[in-house]
Amino acid sequence: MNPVVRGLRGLGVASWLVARSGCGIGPDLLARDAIVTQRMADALLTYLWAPLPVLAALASLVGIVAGTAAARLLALYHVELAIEPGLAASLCRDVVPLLVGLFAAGRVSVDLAARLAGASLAHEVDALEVLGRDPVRHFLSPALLGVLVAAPVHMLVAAACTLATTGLAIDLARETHWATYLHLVVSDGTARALAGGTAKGVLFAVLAFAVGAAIGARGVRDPADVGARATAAFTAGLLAIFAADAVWTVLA
Amino acid sequence: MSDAGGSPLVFDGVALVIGGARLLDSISFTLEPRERVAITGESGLGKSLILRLAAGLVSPSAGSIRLFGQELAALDPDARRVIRARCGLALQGGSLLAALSVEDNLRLGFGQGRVAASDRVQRRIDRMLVDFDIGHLAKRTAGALSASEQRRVELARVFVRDPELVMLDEPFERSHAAAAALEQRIHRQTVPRGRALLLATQDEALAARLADRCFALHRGRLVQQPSVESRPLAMS
Repeated sequence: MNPVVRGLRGLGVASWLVARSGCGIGPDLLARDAIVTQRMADALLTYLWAPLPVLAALASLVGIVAGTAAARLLALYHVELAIEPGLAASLCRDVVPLLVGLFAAGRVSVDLAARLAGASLAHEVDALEVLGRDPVRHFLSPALLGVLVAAPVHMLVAAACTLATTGLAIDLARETHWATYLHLVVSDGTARALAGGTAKGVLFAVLAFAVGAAIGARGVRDPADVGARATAAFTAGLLAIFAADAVWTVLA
Repeated sequence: MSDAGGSPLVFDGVALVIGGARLLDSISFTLEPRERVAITGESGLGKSLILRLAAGLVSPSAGSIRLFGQELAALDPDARRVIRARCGLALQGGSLLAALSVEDNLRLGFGQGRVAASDRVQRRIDRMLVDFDIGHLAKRTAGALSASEQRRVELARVFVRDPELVMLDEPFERSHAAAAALEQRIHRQTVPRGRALLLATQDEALAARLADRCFALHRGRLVQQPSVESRPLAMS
Protein backbone atom coordinates (compact mmCIF):
# COMPACT_ATOMS: atom_id res chain seq x y z
CA MET A 1 0.00 0.00 0.00
CA ASN A 2 1.16 3.53 -0.80
CA PRO A 3 2.80 5.05 2.33
CA VAL A 4 0.67 8.22 2.02
CA VAL A 5 -2.54 6.20 1.80
CA ARG A 6 -1.35 4.06 4.70
CA GLY A 7 -0.57 7.17 6.74
CA LEU A 8 -3.97 8.71 6.02
CA ARG A 9 -5.68 5.45 6.85
CA GLY A 10 -3.76 5.25 10.14
CA LEU A 11 -4.75 8.82 10.93
CA GLY A 12 -8.40 7.99 10.27
CA VAL A 13 -8.28 4.88 12.46
CA ALA A 14 -6.52 6.77 15.26
CA SER A 15 -9.05 9.63 15.15
CA TRP A 16 -11.96 7.22 15.16
CA LEU A 17 -10.55 5.28 18.12
CA VAL A 18 -9.96 8.47 20.15
CA ALA A 19 -13.48 9.73 19.37
CA ARG A 20 -15.07 6.37 20.15
CA SER A 21 -13.12 6.01 23.40
CA GLY A 22 -13.99 9.55 24.39
CA CYS A 23 -17.68 8.92 23.82
CA GLY A 24 -17.47 5.89 26.10
CA ILE A 25 -16.03 7.69 29.13
CA GLY A 26 -19.22 9.50 30.19
CA PRO A 27 -21.59 6.50 30.02
CA ASP A 28 -18.96 4.28 31.65
CA LEU A 29 -18.57 6.71 34.56
CA LEU A 30 -22.35 6.95 34.97
CA ALA A 31 -22.88 3.18 34.75
CA ARG A 32 -21.03 2.60 38.06
CA ASP A 33 -20.23 -0.89 36.90
CA ALA A 34 -17.78 -2.72 39.17
CA ILE A 35 -15.69 -4.07 36.28
CA VAL A 36 -15.50 -0.69 34.54
CA THR A 37 -14.69 1.12 37.80
CA GLN A 38 -11.88 -1.34 38.44
CA ARG A 39 -10.52 -0.80 34.93
CA MET A 40 -10.59 2.97 35.41
CA ALA A 41 -8.77 2.65 38.74
CA ASP A 42 -6.16 0.45 37.03
CA ALA A 43 -5.77 3.01 34.24
CA LEU A 44 -5.22 5.84 36.72
CA LEU A 45 -2.65 3.75 38.55
CA THR A 46 -0.87 2.82 35.30
CA TYR A 47 -0.88 6.20 33.61
CA LEU A 48 -1.03 8.68 36.50
CA TRP A 49 0.67 7.35 39.63
CA ALA A 50 3.15 4.74 38.44
CA PRO A 51 5.16 7.08 36.16
CA LEU A 52 5.29 10.02 38.62
CA PRO A 53 8.55 9.19 40.47
CA VAL A 54 10.53 8.60 37.27
CA LEU A 55 9.00 11.65 35.59
CA ALA A 56 9.83 13.81 38.61
CA ALA A 57 13.41 12.52 38.57
CA LEU A 58 13.78 13.21 34.82
CA ALA A 59 12.29 16.68 35.18
CA SER A 60 14.67 17.42 38.07
CA LEU A 61 17.65 16.33 35.96
CA VAL A 62 16.47 18.55 33.10
CA GLY A 63 16.25 21.42 35.60
CA ILE A 64 19.83 20.80 36.77
CA VAL A 65 21.09 20.87 33.16
CA ALA A 66 19.12 24.05 32.37
CA GLY A 67 20.13 25.73 35.65
CA THR A 68 23.82 24.92 35.18
CA ALA A 69 23.77 26.27 31.61
CA ALA A 70 21.94 29.40 32.81
CA ALA A 71 24.45 29.90 35.65
CA ARG A 72 27.32 29.89 33.12
CA LEU A 73 25.55 32.56 31.07
CA LEU A 74 24.85 34.60 34.18
CA ALA A 75 28.52 34.40 35.18
CA LEU A 76 29.39 36.01 31.84
CA TYR A 77 26.63 38.59 31.40
CA HIS A 78 24.94 39.10 34.81
CA VAL A 79 21.50 39.66 33.23
CA GLU A 80 19.24 37.90 35.75
CA LEU A 81 16.22 39.95 34.80
CA ALA A 82 16.45 38.84 31.16
CA ILE A 83 17.57 35.24 31.52
CA GLU A 84 15.74 33.75 34.49
CA PRO A 85 12.10 34.67 33.67
CA GLY A 86 12.73 33.81 30.01
CA LEU A 87 14.28 30.49 30.96
CA ALA A 88 11.38 29.61 33.28
CA ALA A 89 8.82 30.45 30.58
CA SER A 90 10.73 28.48 27.97
CA LEU A 91 11.01 25.46 30.27
CA CYS A 92 7.26 25.53 31.03
CA ARG A 93 6.15 26.20 27.46
CA ASP A 94 8.59 24.10 25.41
CA VAL A 95 10.82 21.73 27.36
CA VAL A 96 8.54 20.24 30.02
CA PRO A 97 5.64 19.50 27.59
CA LEU A 98 8.08 17.70 25.31
CA LEU A 99 9.38 15.73 28.29
CA VAL A 100 5.82 14.77 29.25
CA GLY A 101 5.14 13.89 25.61
CA LEU A 102 8.25 11.72 25.33
CA PHE A 103 7.29 9.99 28.52
CA ALA A 104 3.78 9.40 27.17
CA ALA A 105 5.23 7.92 23.96
CA GLY A 106 7.34 5.58 26.04
CA ARG A 107 4.57 4.52 28.38
CA VAL A 108 1.14 5.11 26.87
CA SER A 109 1.88 4.25 23.22
CA VAL A 110 3.97 1.21 24.04
CA ASP A 111 1.64 -0.05 26.79
CA LEU A 112 -1.50 0.33 24.68
CA ALA A 113 0.00 -1.19 21.54
CA ALA A 114 1.34 -4.20 23.46
CA ARG A 115 -1.85 -4.62 25.49
CA LEU A 116 -4.17 -4.49 22.47
CA ALA A 117 -1.94 -6.78 20.42
CA GLY A 118 -1.83 -9.23 23.33
CA ALA A 119 -5.62 -9.06 23.71
CA SER A 120 -6.04 -9.78 20.02
CA LEU A 121 -3.65 -12.73 20.26
CA ALA A 122 -5.51 -14.14 23.29
CA HIS A 123 -8.86 -13.74 21.48
CA GLU A 124 -10.01 -11.28 24.16
CA VAL A 125 -11.29 -8.88 21.50
CA ASP A 126 -13.37 -11.69 19.97
CA ALA A 127 -14.61 -12.63 23.45
CA LEU A 128 -15.96 -9.13 24.05
CA GLU A 129 -17.56 -9.07 20.61
CA VAL A 130 -19.37 -12.36 21.16
CA LEU A 131 -20.58 -11.10 24.53
CA GLY A 132 -22.06 -8.06 22.80
CA ARG A 133 -19.61 -5.59 24.39
CA ASP A 134 -17.69 -2.94 22.52
CA PRO A 135 -13.95 -3.78 22.74
CA VAL A 136 -13.00 -0.14 22.10
CA ARG A 137 -14.92 1.00 25.17
CA HIS A 138 -13.66 -1.89 27.26
CA PHE A 139 -9.98 -1.46 26.47
CA LEU A 140 -9.58 2.18 25.46
CA SER A 141 -12.09 4.37 27.31
CA PRO A 142 -10.53 3.78 30.77
CA ALA A 143 -7.06 4.28 29.26
CA LEU A 144 -8.09 7.58 27.65
CA LEU A 145 -9.55 8.77 30.95
CA GLY A 146 -6.29 7.87 32.69
CA VAL A 147 -4.24 9.72 30.04
CA LEU A 148 -6.45 12.83 30.16
CA VAL A 149 -6.22 13.02 33.95
CA ALA A 150 -2.52 12.19 34.02
CA ALA A 151 -1.24 14.71 31.44
CA PRO A 152 -2.03 17.95 33.35
CA VAL A 153 -0.89 16.45 36.66
CA HIS A 154 2.35 15.28 35.05
CA MET A 155 2.84 18.74 33.54
CA LEU A 156 2.44 20.50 36.89
CA VAL A 157 4.66 18.07 38.77
CA ALA A 158 7.34 18.09 36.06
CA ALA A 159 7.27 21.88 35.78
CA ALA A 160 7.58 22.28 39.56
CA CYS A 161 10.52 19.85 39.69
CA THR A 162 12.27 21.45 36.71
CA LEU A 163 11.87 25.01 37.99
CA ALA A 164 12.96 24.02 41.50
CA THR A 165 16.15 22.26 40.40
CA THR A 166 16.94 25.03 37.91
CA GLY A 167 16.83 27.54 40.76
CA LEU A 168 18.85 25.21 42.95
CA ALA A 169 21.56 24.85 40.29
CA ILE A 170 21.76 28.64 39.82
CA ASP A 171 21.85 29.17 43.58
CA LEU A 172 24.61 26.57 44.06
CA ALA A 173 26.66 28.29 41.35
CA ARG A 174 26.32 31.41 43.54
CA GLU A 175 24.90 33.46 40.66
CA THR A 176 21.44 34.26 42.05
CA HIS A 177 20.07 33.65 45.50
CA TRP A 178 17.19 31.18 45.66
CA ALA A 179 14.71 33.80 46.95
CA THR A 180 15.60 36.23 44.14
CA TYR A 181 15.22 33.48 41.56
CA LEU A 182 11.81 32.62 42.95
CA HIS A 183 10.77 36.27 42.86
CA LEU A 184 11.82 36.54 39.20
CA VAL A 185 10.21 33.33 37.89
CA VAL A 186 6.89 33.42 39.77
CA SER A 187 5.12 35.75 37.36
CA ASP A 188 2.19 36.06 34.98
CA GLY A 189 4.51 35.21 32.09
CA THR A 190 5.50 31.89 33.67
CA ALA A 191 1.84 31.12 34.49
CA ARG A 192 0.80 31.80 30.89
CA ALA A 193 3.68 29.65 29.62
CA LEU A 194 2.63 26.86 31.99
CA ALA A 195 -0.99 27.06 30.79
CA GLY A 196 0.14 26.84 27.16
CA GLY A 197 2.56 24.06 28.05
CA THR A 198 -0.18 22.10 29.82
CA ALA A 199 -2.39 22.30 26.72
CA LYS A 200 0.56 21.04 24.70
CA GLY A 201 1.24 18.24 27.18
CA VAL A 202 -2.40 17.07 26.98
CA LEU A 203 -2.23 17.16 23.16
CA PHE A 204 0.98 15.10 23.17
CA ALA A 205 -0.50 12.57 25.59
CA VAL A 206 -3.62 12.18 23.40
CA LEU A 207 -1.36 11.76 20.36
CA ALA A 208 0.58 9.05 22.18
CA PHE A 209 -2.73 7.38 23.06
CA ALA A 210 -3.98 7.60 19.46
CA VAL A 211 -0.78 6.14 18.02
CA GLY A 212 -0.69 3.29 20.54
CA ALA A 213 -4.37 2.49 20.00
CA ALA A 214 -4.16 2.57 16.19
CA ILE A 215 -1.06 0.38 16.03
CA GLY A 216 -2.30 -2.03 18.71
CA ALA A 217 -5.70 -2.36 17.05
CA ARG A 218 -4.17 -4.11 14.05
CA GLY A 219 -4.60 -7.82 14.69
CA VAL A 220 -1.59 -10.02 15.36
CA ARG A 221 -1.08 -13.70 14.65
CA ASP A 222 2.30 -14.30 16.21
CA PRO A 223 3.51 -13.51 19.76
CA ALA A 224 6.64 -11.95 18.25
CA ASP A 225 4.40 -9.35 16.61
CA VAL A 226 3.46 -7.96 20.04
CA GLY A 227 7.01 -6.65 20.59
CA ALA A 228 7.15 -5.35 17.02
CA ARG A 229 3.90 -3.44 17.56
CA ALA A 230 5.24 -1.89 20.79
CA THR A 231 8.43 -0.76 19.04
CA ALA A 232 6.47 0.65 16.10
CA ALA A 233 4.18 2.50 18.51
CA PHE A 234 7.11 4.09 20.34
CA THR A 235 8.74 5.26 17.09
CA ALA A 236 5.50 6.54 15.59
CA GLY A 237 4.56 8.20 18.88
CA LEU A 238 7.87 10.09 18.99
CA LEU A 239 7.44 11.17 15.37
CA ALA A 240 3.87 12.36 15.95
CA ILE A 241 4.79 14.30 19.10
CA PHE A 242 7.82 16.04 17.58
CA ALA A 243 5.83 16.88 14.44
CA ALA A 244 3.00 18.33 16.54
CA ASP A 245 5.51 20.29 18.64
CA ALA A 246 7.14 21.73 15.52
CA VAL A 247 3.78 22.78 14.09
CA TRP A 248 2.68 24.28 17.43
CA THR A 249 5.92 26.23 17.86
CA VAL A 250 5.81 27.60 14.31
CA LEU A 251 2.15 28.63 14.58
CA ALA A 252 2.29 30.01 18.13
CA MET B 1 -37.43 -15.31 21.43
CA SER B 2 -36.78 -15.78 17.73
CA ASP B 3 -38.46 -13.08 15.68
CA ALA B 4 -42.08 -13.95 14.89
CA GLY B 5 -41.28 -17.61 15.49
CA GLY B 6 -38.83 -17.47 12.56
CA SER B 7 -35.58 -19.33 12.14
CA PRO B 8 -32.79 -18.19 14.45
CA LEU B 9 -30.16 -18.64 11.73
CA VAL B 10 -30.33 -18.79 7.95
CA PHE B 11 -27.34 -19.18 5.61
CA ASP B 12 -28.22 -18.54 1.97
CA GLY B 13 -25.58 -19.19 -0.69
CA VAL B 14 -22.74 -17.99 1.52
CA ALA B 15 -19.23 -17.98 0.11
CA LEU B 16 -16.01 -16.85 1.72
CA VAL B 17 -12.83 -16.02 -0.15
CA ILE B 18 -9.69 -15.19 1.83
CA GLY B 19 -6.38 -14.39 0.16
CA GLY B 20 -7.67 -15.61 -3.20
CA ALA B 21 -8.67 -19.02 -1.80
CA ARG B 22 -12.36 -19.94 -1.80
CA LEU B 23 -12.70 -21.47 1.64
CA LEU B 24 -16.49 -21.75 1.71
CA ASP B 25 -18.81 -22.04 -1.25
CA SER B 26 -22.61 -22.03 -1.57
CA ILE B 27 -23.25 -22.71 2.10
CA SER B 28 -27.00 -22.84 2.63
CA PHE B 29 -28.87 -24.17 5.62
CA THR B 30 -31.56 -23.09 8.05
CA LEU B 31 -31.44 -23.63 11.77
CA GLU B 32 -34.98 -23.87 13.06
CA PRO B 33 -36.06 -22.95 16.61
CA ARG B 34 -35.13 -25.69 19.10
CA GLU B 35 -33.16 -27.49 16.39
CA ARG B 36 -29.60 -28.71 16.90
CA VAL B 37 -27.30 -28.83 13.88
CA ALA B 38 -23.72 -30.05 13.77
CA ILE B 39 -21.03 -29.38 11.20
CA THR B 40 -18.26 -31.93 11.09
CA GLY B 41 -15.03 -32.14 9.16
CA GLU B 42 -11.29 -32.30 9.48
CA SER B 43 -9.34 -29.48 11.08
CA GLY B 44 -8.66 -26.49 8.85
CA LEU B 45 -11.62 -26.94 6.50
CA GLY B 46 -13.49 -23.86 7.73
CA LYS B 47 -15.94 -25.07 10.41
CA SER B 48 -14.90 -22.28 12.75
CA LEU B 49 -15.37 -19.76 9.97
CA ILE B 50 -19.01 -20.81 9.62
CA LEU B 51 -19.56 -20.02 13.31
CA ARG B 52 -17.73 -16.71 12.99
CA LEU B 53 -19.85 -15.86 9.95
CA ALA B 54 -23.00 -16.80 11.87
CA ALA B 55 -21.99 -14.48 14.71
CA GLY B 56 -21.22 -11.62 12.35
CA LEU B 57 -17.54 -11.58 13.30
CA VAL B 58 -16.58 -12.19 9.66
CA SER B 59 -18.42 -10.86 6.61
CA PRO B 60 -19.17 -13.25 3.75
CA SER B 61 -17.79 -12.63 0.24
CA ALA B 62 -21.17 -13.61 -1.23
CA GLY B 63 -24.60 -14.70 -0.06
CA SER B 64 -26.58 -13.63 2.97
CA ILE B 65 -26.77 -14.58 6.63
CA ARG B 66 -29.83 -13.81 8.76
CA LEU B 67 -29.56 -14.02 12.52
CA PHE B 68 -32.90 -13.85 14.33
CA GLY B 69 -34.44 -12.57 11.12
CA GLN B 70 -31.94 -9.72 10.71
CA GLU B 71 -29.65 -9.53 7.70
CA LEU B 72 -26.21 -9.24 9.32
CA ALA B 73 -24.68 -7.35 6.39
CA ALA B 74 -27.26 -4.58 6.86
CA LEU B 75 -26.46 -4.03 10.54
CA ASP B 76 -23.86 -1.65 11.94
CA PRO B 77 -21.38 -3.01 14.54
CA ASP B 78 -23.46 -1.80 17.50
CA ALA B 79 -26.62 -3.44 16.16
CA ARG B 80 -24.68 -6.65 15.56
CA ARG B 81 -23.53 -6.62 19.17
CA VAL B 82 -27.11 -6.25 20.37
CA ILE B 83 -28.27 -9.20 18.31
CA ARG B 84 -25.18 -11.23 19.19
CA ALA B 85 -26.03 -10.78 22.86
CA ARG B 86 -28.95 -13.18 22.26
CA CYS B 87 -26.48 -15.95 21.39
CA GLY B 88 -24.07 -17.94 23.50
CA LEU B 89 -20.77 -18.59 21.77
CA ALA B 90 -17.68 -20.57 22.64
CA LEU B 91 -15.02 -20.11 20.00
CA GLN B 92 -11.94 -22.21 19.49
CA GLY B 93 -8.64 -21.11 21.01
CA GLY B 94 -9.85 -19.66 24.29
CA SER B 95 -11.53 -16.33 24.85
CA LEU B 96 -11.48 -15.42 28.52
CA LEU B 97 -10.23 -12.04 29.68
CA ALA B 98 -7.12 -13.11 31.52
CA ALA B 99 -6.97 -10.15 33.91
CA LEU B 100 -10.53 -10.59 35.19
CA SER B 101 -11.77 -13.09 37.74
CA VAL B 102 -13.87 -16.06 36.65
CA GLU B 103 -16.95 -14.41 38.15
CA ASP B 104 -16.30 -11.15 36.30
CA ASN B 105 -15.79 -13.06 33.05
CA LEU B 106 -19.27 -14.49 33.51
CA ARG B 107 -20.65 -11.08 34.50
CA LEU B 108 -19.27 -9.44 31.33
CA GLY B 109 -22.13 -10.86 29.31
CA PHE B 110 -24.76 -8.92 31.23
CA GLY B 111 -23.90 -5.44 30.06
CA GLN B 112 -22.98 -2.65 32.43
CA GLY B 113 -24.29 -0.98 35.54
CA ARG B 114 -27.16 -2.01 37.74
CA VAL B 115 -28.29 -4.93 35.57
CA ALA B 116 -24.90 -6.62 35.87
CA ALA B 117 -24.83 -5.95 39.62
CA SER B 118 -28.38 -7.18 40.33
CA ASP B 119 -29.23 -10.10 42.58
CA ARG B 120 -30.85 -11.91 39.66
CA VAL B 121 -27.60 -11.81 37.72
CA GLN B 122 -25.61 -12.93 40.75
CA ARG B 123 -27.96 -15.89 41.26
CA ARG B 124 -27.62 -16.80 37.58
CA ILE B 125 -23.81 -16.63 37.82
CA ASP B 126 -23.82 -18.72 41.00
CA ARG B 127 -26.00 -21.34 39.31
CA MET B 128 -23.61 -21.60 36.35
CA LEU B 129 -20.61 -21.82 38.66
CA VAL B 130 -22.26 -24.80 40.36
CA ASP B 131 -23.53 -26.39 37.13
CA PHE B 132 -20.09 -26.37 35.56
CA ASP B 133 -18.31 -27.27 38.79
CA ILE B 134 -16.20 -24.12 38.86
CA GLY B 135 -17.53 -22.53 42.05
CA HIS B 136 -14.17 -22.94 43.77
CA LEU B 137 -12.54 -20.92 40.96
CA ALA B 138 -14.93 -17.96 41.10
CA LYS B 139 -12.51 -15.44 42.61
CA ARG B 140 -9.41 -16.56 40.72
CA THR B 141 -8.21 -14.63 37.69
CA ALA B 142 -8.88 -16.42 34.43
CA GLY B 143 -5.25 -16.19 33.37
CA ALA B 144 -4.22 -18.30 36.37
CA LEU B 145 -6.45 -21.28 35.45
CA SER B 146 -5.42 -24.46 33.66
CA ALA B 147 -6.51 -24.89 30.04
CA SER B 148 -9.21 -27.37 31.06
CA GLU B 149 -10.58 -25.05 33.76
CA GLN B 150 -10.60 -22.14 31.30
CA ARG B 151 -12.67 -24.16 28.84
CA ARG B 152 -15.22 -24.99 31.56
CA VAL B 153 -15.50 -21.29 32.37
CA GLU B 154 -15.97 -20.48 28.68
CA LEU B 155 -18.75 -23.05 28.42
CA ALA B 156 -20.41 -21.72 31.59
CA ARG B 157 -20.29 -18.23 30.08
CA VAL B 158 -22.06 -19.49 26.97
CA PHE B 159 -25.13 -20.37 29.01
CA VAL B 160 -25.05 -17.71 31.71
CA ARG B 161 -27.22 -15.26 29.76
CA ASP B 162 -29.88 -17.82 28.93
CA PRO B 163 -29.17 -17.67 25.17
CA GLU B 164 -31.72 -18.50 22.49
CA LEU B 165 -29.05 -19.81 20.12
CA VAL B 166 -25.91 -21.64 21.24
CA MET B 167 -22.84 -21.91 19.00
CA LEU B 168 -20.05 -24.19 20.13
CA ASP B 169 -16.75 -24.69 18.36
CA GLU B 170 -14.94 -27.85 19.49
CA PRO B 171 -16.53 -27.60 22.95
CA PHE B 172 -14.18 -30.08 24.60
CA GLU B 173 -11.01 -28.59 23.20
CA ARG B 174 -8.31 -28.57 25.93
CA SER B 175 -10.51 -30.54 28.33
CA HIS B 176 -10.84 -34.01 26.85
CA ALA B 177 -10.43 -35.64 30.25
CA ALA B 178 -13.69 -34.06 31.43
CA ALA B 179 -15.45 -34.43 28.08
CA ALA B 180 -18.14 -36.85 29.24
CA ALA B 181 -19.20 -34.67 32.18
CA LEU B 182 -19.14 -31.54 30.04
CA GLU B 183 -21.21 -33.23 27.36
CA GLN B 184 -23.86 -34.00 29.92
CA ARG B 185 -23.90 -30.40 31.10
CA ILE B 186 -24.20 -29.07 27.55
CA HIS B 187 -26.97 -31.55 26.84
CA ARG B 188 -28.79 -30.46 30.00
CA GLN B 189 -28.46 -26.80 29.04
CA THR B 190 -29.69 -27.24 25.47
CA VAL B 191 -32.01 -30.18 24.84
CA PRO B 192 -34.59 -29.87 27.68
CA ARG B 193 -34.56 -26.08 27.40
CA GLY B 194 -35.27 -26.12 23.69
CA ARG B 195 -32.30 -24.00 22.71
CA ALA B 196 -31.12 -24.01 19.12
CA LEU B 197 -27.57 -25.30 18.76
CA LEU B 198 -24.96 -24.92 16.06
CA LEU B 199 -22.03 -27.21 16.80
CA ALA B 200 -18.71 -27.40 14.93
CA THR B 201 -16.64 -30.43 15.74
CA GLN B 202 -14.33 -33.08 14.30
CA ASP B 203 -15.99 -35.66 16.56
CA GLU B 204 -18.73 -37.26 14.45
CA ALA B 205 -19.95 -39.38 17.37
CA LEU B 206 -20.43 -36.28 19.51
CA ALA B 207 -22.23 -34.58 16.63
CA ALA B 208 -24.56 -37.55 16.30
CA ARG B 209 -25.32 -37.55 20.03
CA LEU B 210 -25.99 -33.82 20.37
CA ALA B 211 -27.47 -32.82 17.02
CA ASP B 212 -30.69 -33.52 15.12
CA ARG B 213 -29.01 -32.92 11.77
CA CYS B 214 -25.37 -33.28 10.77
CA PHE B 215 -23.52 -31.74 7.86
CA ALA B 216 -20.04 -32.65 6.72
CA LEU B 217 -17.89 -29.84 5.38
CA HIS B 218 -16.19 -31.09 2.23
CA ARG B 219 -14.15 -28.85 -0.08
CA GLY B 220 -15.90 -25.77 1.21
CA ARG B 221 -19.43 -27.15 0.77
CA LEU B 222 -21.85 -28.62 3.24
CA VAL B 223 -23.00 -32.17 2.61
CA GLN B 224 -25.95 -33.37 4.68
CA GLN B 225 -25.23 -36.62 6.45
CA PRO B 226 -27.77 -39.44 6.72
CA SER B 227 -29.49 -39.34 10.09
CA VAL B 228 -27.73 -41.39 12.67
CA GLU B 229 -29.66 -43.24 15.29
CA SER B 230 -29.23 -41.39 18.53
CA ARG B 231 -26.67 -42.90 20.79
CA PRO B 232 -26.96 -42.71 24.54
CA LEU B 233 -25.20 -39.83 26.22
CA ALA B 234 -21.72 -40.51 27.48
CA MET B 235 -21.84 -41.01 31.21
CA SER B 236 -19.25 -39.59 33.54
